[in-house]
Amino acid sequence: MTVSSQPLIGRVRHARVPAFVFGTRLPESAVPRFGSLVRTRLRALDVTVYGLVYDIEVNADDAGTTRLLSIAEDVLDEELEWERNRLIPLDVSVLCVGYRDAAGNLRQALPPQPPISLDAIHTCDAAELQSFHSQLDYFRLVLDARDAPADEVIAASIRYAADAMEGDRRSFILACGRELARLLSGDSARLEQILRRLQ
Amino acid sequence: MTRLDDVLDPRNPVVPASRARPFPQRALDRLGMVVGGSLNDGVRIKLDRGTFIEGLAVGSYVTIDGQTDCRFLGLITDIALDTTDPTLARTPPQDALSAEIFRGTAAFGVITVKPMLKLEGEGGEARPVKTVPTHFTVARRSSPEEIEQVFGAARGKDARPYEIGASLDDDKVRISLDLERLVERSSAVFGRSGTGKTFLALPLLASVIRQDVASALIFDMHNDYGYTLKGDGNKKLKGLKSLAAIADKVSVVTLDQVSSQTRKTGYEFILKIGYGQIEPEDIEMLKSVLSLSDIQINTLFVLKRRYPSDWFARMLSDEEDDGIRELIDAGKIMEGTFMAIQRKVGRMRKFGFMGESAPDGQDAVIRIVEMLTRGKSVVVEFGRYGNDLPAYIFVANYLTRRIHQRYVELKEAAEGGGPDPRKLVIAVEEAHKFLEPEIAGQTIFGTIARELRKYNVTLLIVDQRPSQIDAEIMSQIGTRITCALSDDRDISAVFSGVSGSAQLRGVLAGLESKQQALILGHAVPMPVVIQTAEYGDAIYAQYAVAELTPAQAKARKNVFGSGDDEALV
Repeated sequence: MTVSSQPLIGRVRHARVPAFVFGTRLPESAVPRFGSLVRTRLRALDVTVYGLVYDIEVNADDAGTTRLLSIAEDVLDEELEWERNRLIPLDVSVLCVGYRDAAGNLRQALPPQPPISLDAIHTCDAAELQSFHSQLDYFRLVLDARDAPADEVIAASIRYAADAMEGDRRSFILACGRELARLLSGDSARLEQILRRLQ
Repeated sequence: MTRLDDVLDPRNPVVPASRARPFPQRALDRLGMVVGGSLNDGVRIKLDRGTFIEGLAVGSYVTIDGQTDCRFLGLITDIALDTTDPTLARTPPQDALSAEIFRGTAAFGVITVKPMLKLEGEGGEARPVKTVPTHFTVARRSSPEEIEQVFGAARGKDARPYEIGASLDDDKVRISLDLERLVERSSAVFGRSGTGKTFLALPLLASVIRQDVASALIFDMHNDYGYTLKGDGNKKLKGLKSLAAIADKVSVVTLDQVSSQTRKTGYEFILKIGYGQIEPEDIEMLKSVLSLSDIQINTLFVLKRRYPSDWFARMLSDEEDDGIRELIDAGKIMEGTFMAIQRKVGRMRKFGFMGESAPDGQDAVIRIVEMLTRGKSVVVEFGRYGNDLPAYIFVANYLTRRIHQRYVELKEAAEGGGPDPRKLVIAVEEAHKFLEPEIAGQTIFGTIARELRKYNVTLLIVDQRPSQIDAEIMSQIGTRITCALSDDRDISAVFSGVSGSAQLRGVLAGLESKQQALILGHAVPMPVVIQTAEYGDAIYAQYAVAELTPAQAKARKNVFGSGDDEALV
């Protein structure tokens, strides 16, 4: 599958097979959103790794300006705006939910290797979202994730994907809901909490 | 691997048609897959989300494709709702989307299917099932071809099929009974009042007669089987004698000449019973309806021993009888007992078909046996006596005892090299009056039911209270055709003596009150629910014959009386 040329949004800082963190300094409007799908590439294996954003941490700036401004009195609005418009360093945590192998096969399982430091991270466009969501096996990976707020991540990721489904939103949400119902067949309370977040 | 297309079932109405993909023909009938169960209790099938549970019915056929090329044919015996998580039932979803998601996934339908037959390969022979299909095998609606293979007229080269109705699922699929097997053992038509027992029994008997499977002797309590019977809205319908194809094979004998004349129906002869022909055993049968005690019954035998030829006439006589007085004085019988018998049995004086002596010394039994053995069937019309239970029981018992005795003689003669007597089916209504536990052991009907085909005589019981029939006799009934029953005891009784039939209770309870029946037993390969056609033109057409020439019509009229076919609808 041809991977579209989406803009670079950051580079890997550290990684494990199930998850990785990438750093970014983007304007506020371009910060990747919680639950969105991003990708990186394992060049040695010719594999594209997909992940869901499950945490975004705003780092304190090195000079301590933000810290001072947050407690300062009589600060001019212009000063705050100037500070806010600086490129703020962010740590974005990503849960690995699948990969596309060298032959183009999509597998919703953990990748064979974690990404390497400073590998480039890109967002996914609507076509990639649709393609990735032709399977729903990644739900299990998210539901079983220990470090991530799994229910919130899965609900957010479904909502994003649903928006990319071109008018077939409800059918897609129904299909996702049914897959969740199958996976959480013994825990209807948790299931219902997730379903409420889909509406 | 779960694919989105698998989750988006094209049969689900929420999926846009543009995304629906055509399912293979076979999958259209798919219901679900086997998830558990047992041979005795039936296998549990979890329904697919796309299966419309409200479109299913107990009694419908399901085929489960086995792991090899065999197929299991079974009957839906229960339909239930289930959930994967018990808490879901206590906290059901509160919004439409959640409800739609839960439905078919965490909350789903389950059917219980009782496997009955195993079909080996395509068109292979149907055999009784001895195992169950394995887990996760696919269950689907049985195809018309499969039902036809099992119940169709073509099954088995020796079968004598009779199309008794249509499949519950598809009225084009005809269900047939094997008449040879039906008459091999006693059989029964059960159903509460007004469910159409007579409309089932009548064409069944017509078919037995037409196919020469057996002769029939019908005790026609309500004058339904002879020339005409009344349908809904007093519509006049054709009885056996009015069905052209079998009219020549049926004779009507009446007990009530006046009634026959009033109804303008013909008859072969008027049945009269002379007092001298009556035996104490004939009265013993009336023990419960006349409230006769054991001592009173014994008194009858004492009278018979003392006065073999005219004991009954003496007993009914109001005149002072020195002979009876002698017995009383000698202490052989007690006066009080005798007086009580006179009072109770005295009711029989009003039976117009009984007299001091039979006219011209005729013996109705000999004439009837002669007709039956010649291949004719006999309808005994009771006229106004049909509403008199003692009269009905007395005559049915009187004739049956003697006919059975004659058949025993004929059968014994056959064993010595003579011809085998023709099979005989005795149809009897209100059968529980003859077969209730207190008297079933002594009556001829109990004997016939127990002896089975030993003497080529079997019963066709038509009754609304199977629970009042002796359990031992119920267990001997080969084929049970059951219309709707409402009393739980009656429903239980229908299944007594049929192993593994407990699951069919739900099927029986679900029958509609008219034109539906559950058939189980000897004459069908597996239990089947049928939809019967309304008794009328469609059934007449099966018994139509080429129009008679005027000469034939005249000859027929001379022989069988005019009847009033023109007025029948």
